[in-house]
Amino acid sequence: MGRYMFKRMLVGFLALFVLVTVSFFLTRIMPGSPFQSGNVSEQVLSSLEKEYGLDKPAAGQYVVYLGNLLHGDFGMSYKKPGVSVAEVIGRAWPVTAVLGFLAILLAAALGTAAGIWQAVTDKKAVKGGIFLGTMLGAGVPNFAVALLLDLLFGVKLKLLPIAGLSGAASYVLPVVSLALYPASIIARMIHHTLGDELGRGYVALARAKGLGRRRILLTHVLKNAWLPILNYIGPAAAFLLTGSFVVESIFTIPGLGREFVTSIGNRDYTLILGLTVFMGIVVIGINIITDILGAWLDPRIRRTCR
Amino acid sequence: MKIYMRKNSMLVSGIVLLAVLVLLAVLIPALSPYPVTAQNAELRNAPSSFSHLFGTDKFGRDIFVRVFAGTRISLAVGIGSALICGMAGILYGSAAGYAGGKADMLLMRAADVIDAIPSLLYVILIMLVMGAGIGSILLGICIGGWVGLARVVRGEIMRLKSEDFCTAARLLGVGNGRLLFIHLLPNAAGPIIVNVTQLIPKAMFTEAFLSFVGVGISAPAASLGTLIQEARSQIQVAPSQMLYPMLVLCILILSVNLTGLGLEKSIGRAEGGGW
Amino acid sequence: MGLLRIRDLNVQFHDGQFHDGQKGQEAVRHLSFDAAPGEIVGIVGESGSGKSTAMQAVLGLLPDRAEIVCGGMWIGDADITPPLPGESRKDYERKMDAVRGNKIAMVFQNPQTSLNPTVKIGRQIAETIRLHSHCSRSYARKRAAELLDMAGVHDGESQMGKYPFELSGGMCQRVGIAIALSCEPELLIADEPTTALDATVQKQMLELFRRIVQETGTAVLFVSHDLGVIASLCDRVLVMHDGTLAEEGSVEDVFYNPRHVYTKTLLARAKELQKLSACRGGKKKLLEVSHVSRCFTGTGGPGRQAAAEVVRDVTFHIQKGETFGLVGESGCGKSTLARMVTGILAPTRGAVLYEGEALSVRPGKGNRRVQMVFQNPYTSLNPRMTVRDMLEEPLILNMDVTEQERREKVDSMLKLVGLDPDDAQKYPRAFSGGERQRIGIARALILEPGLLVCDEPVSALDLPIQEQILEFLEELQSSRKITCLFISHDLNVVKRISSRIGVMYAGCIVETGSTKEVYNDPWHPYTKALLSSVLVPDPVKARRKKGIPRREEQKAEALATEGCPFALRCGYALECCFTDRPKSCRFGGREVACFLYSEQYTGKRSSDYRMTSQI
Repeated sequence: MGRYMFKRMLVGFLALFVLVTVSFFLTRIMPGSPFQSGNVSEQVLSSLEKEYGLDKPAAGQYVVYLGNLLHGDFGMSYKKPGVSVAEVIGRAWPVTAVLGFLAILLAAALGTAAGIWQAVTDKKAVKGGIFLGTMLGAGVPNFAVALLLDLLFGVKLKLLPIAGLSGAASYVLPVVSLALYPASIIARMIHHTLGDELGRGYVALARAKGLGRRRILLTHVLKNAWLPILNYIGPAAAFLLTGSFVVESIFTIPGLGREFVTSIGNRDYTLILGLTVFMGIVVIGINIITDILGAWLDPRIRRTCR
Repeated sequence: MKIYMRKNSMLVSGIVLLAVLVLLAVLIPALSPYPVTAQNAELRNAPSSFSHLFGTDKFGRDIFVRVFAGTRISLAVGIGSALICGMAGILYGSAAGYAGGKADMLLMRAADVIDAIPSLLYVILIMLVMGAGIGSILLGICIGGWVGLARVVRGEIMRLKSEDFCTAARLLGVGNGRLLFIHLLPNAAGPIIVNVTQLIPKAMFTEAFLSFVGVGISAPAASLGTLIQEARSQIQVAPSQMLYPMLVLCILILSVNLTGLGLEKSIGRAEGGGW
Repeated sequence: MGLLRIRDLNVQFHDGQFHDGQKGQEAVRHLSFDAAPGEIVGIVGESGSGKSTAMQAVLGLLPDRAEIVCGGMWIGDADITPPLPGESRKDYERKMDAVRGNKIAMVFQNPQTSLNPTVKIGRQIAETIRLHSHCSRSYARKRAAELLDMAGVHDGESQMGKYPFELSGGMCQRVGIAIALSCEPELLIADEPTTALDATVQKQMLELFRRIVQETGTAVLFVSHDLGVIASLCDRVLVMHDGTLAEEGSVEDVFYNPRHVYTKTLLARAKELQKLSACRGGKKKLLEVSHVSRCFTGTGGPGRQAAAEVVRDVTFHIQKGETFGLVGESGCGKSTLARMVTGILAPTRGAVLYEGEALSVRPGKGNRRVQMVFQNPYTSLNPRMTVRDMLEEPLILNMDVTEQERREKVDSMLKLVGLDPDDAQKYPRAFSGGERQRIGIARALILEPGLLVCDEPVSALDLPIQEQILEFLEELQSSRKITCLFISHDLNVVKRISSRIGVMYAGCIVETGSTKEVYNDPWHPYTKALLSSVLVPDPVKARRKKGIPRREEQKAEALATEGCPFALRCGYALECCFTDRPKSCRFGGREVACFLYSEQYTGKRSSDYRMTSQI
């Protein structure tokens, strides 16, 4: 187990390193200087570049950046004078984290319930309905969902707030539009693994022992069916973070995603770089945690890998 | 056909929908009297009519033509990336799976590293560096898109390699190349096809997303994502401008998904029953 | 009055897709029988005869697409007749939840998959106890430990914290039996409970069943396809054929005086397998395997294990024209050895010499002198190649023959193995298991190899098909004088076809010798155990067979690094057996690796001393 954890971490750190390196050099070769807007004189430009350390060779800048990263210093924003990238992240991250956490809870609950229902029901209509639902949920891009919800509840029905975060009700639309896609995927996976697990020998034995269907499902099958889902939580986190770009812009929520989209519009390269690296850390971290958790929960892996 | 329809309605309906969309995407922009980018100052935000089936946008451009021009882009990105990622994944995966041992370990760890990075993040950076356009979108998607397929191919090759028929072939003097391409890969065709089809909607998703965020296909060219983004400002006045491209995008992704699921089902059936 | 009474049980399966008026497949027809308390009733039949289906119908475990029509079914006084199709199942299910596990318990075929892999076995047993008796958690645990002890798992208390994958197959089956016994059921249904186990473990399992019946007085319905198992265990037999009851009676009546034609053929076929091989080998050494070992380093799993030696210091030879049989339990390294003999795997140490030269599978002409027939005919043929392509491929790669010659050669080869050359355009899926195995043999023979390695060629086949393939191989032996290395876990099959045999245990060959000598007078303790576990389809003989002393059964992977591999299970183990490795001692044509036969144990012997069994 220790060995497995070490290996998993190593891959994570390597991935992080690759991400930082690639993003750093990509932002360096992006066309145009960030300060070239309007009538800036040569002199001012070069002094600005000096201030931000842009006059040094790229390799040197890279080493400095790596060193700063280790202290949690993501550099200064180009476009917001005097504001550090870390400050922006510190302000925006909690908002996005709460949204993402709620969305993943909703997706897990909704997906599991729908998947189980689809697997155990005898009614053809329910089976077909859930199938169609997961099909649509996995087929409609999240920005489309967000815009449709916006249109329906905010513009037409005027039931729910469509901008900002001013109360519990304002969380509903963004969370739902984020959760719909992962919920469909989870439902599909649960349906699939449940189908497999229900056909296994231990279910027959449990029935022969006299356990009722419901009890077998809850005490024996569900845990085994949920283990593969844990592996999906990592990719789902990545999806939610990138999903927050559009959802937060549509509902004007001051989170990481909106900061990212605005920084793209502003060509604020340090901010883009910092946010990319930060989100990379989050996703890779969640991936490692869920992987290790999944391995630890499965005695077949826990007991055999030392 | 009728019997087939009953046996695998998903595949049939998926393919029919997809065929209709492909046909429309090819024909409409070519035959329509309105060029994709032609503006008409007199006909702004027009509702649906006979001359403009989906109405016009705030510059007076015909949305019907623009939507199917966007479908063209979506299809091109989807199919193009599936082809490129498919080739890369098959080659990489079969190399790793066939070689086995240390080489396999190294190759797969490298793939793990690439896979651990959330792809959309660096795709956005690549778009910023290379500039908007189909080429850079394809490049961005394909840098990390092949990893999943490579894993599947590797797993299949590993599994098949240890099957008895493979041992028999080696005993009878079949060499490496022949073994891989004649004996192993054809037997892995089912999972490969299913996974390649799953790459298509993913790529379409990414393209629409990027265009929506504003780094994908740039105006005035029409991609479904850009169309939706442009129509956002008119959401109070003319929501239909947003709904039409959305509807087409959803049907497009749905039809590809249906085809994929149907293929999976029929391949699973053929291999489960026929082996 | 019987404990279980079944009257006119019919089961029909509906194929999911065809609903309109088509009759499904009838699995069980008009089955009626009784079972008395404390009686062991054997149910015997080929696969597909409906025996398992009938047992599942008793417990109501069949899937929904099974349609059950039953005249009546009672356990004791309780009516457990399943509802007719279309009737509500709610009351029945509620009633059955109290019957299942409580009055009627079941033991399944595959012990490792019928336990939940992620739940500790202690909990899986205690759960059943608590379900039916509503006792405290600690009492249930105590009872579970007792049950494990009763099922022959020593130190049950500490075993309860283990997961199923940490136990051997035999141990898992004991856990399954403990679960079944947990509520002192009146009836125990055992569905092929020993089929997935090794012969020696099977023998112990049957003893366990007998002891349980004596101690608890529960009735047992024992389903098996193996006549030997039935003969040695049961009081009464039901013979099932095609979903109907062919014959019913006491074991003695059915085995010594069968009335139904089907029972007669079944018995005749089983006796056929008891024959000893008649063929003799030549004198010239064709293949020499000397001190071969093979290690595997575990790179597959996420955690790397230390190098495991699967085959260890194996030496034997095969003479031209003979059939050498290799017998051993699953996991003893026979298949690895087979692969080394063919040259697919290179030995870690030692050498395999074919006519004095090392073998290679590298492409190149003249390298194809050893060919192989595989166990599973469903995976040994490439499903995407036609039979003709499959057979022509080696000819194209290895010989300079014209297309015409190739066609003729393939046709004649297909005729030789008893297939129609017109079928050569078909893909493997068009053929049955036995036909596929013939194709596999044709493929192995098409390059006219000097040595044919058969790795469990009949184990995956039904009994009558096994018989056909064995007969065909015998024919080949006499007509083509082919040299053969025949590997199987089934001593009956090996002794039927080979002139000399080697017995393998945990990677080592413990005894070799001519089939007749080894079979009639086994020397090595393991050979003795193996032979005593062979069950003959003859009730009197089967019961007379006495067990040999043995110790605790272990998970086979506990391969002792030093000492005799069998020492842990051996009832005759000496002190030196745990510390030193026994050398192979040679006496005439026989070799045995055991200290009981070594000089240091028996003392110096005069040169004309004739060795006999020491145990």
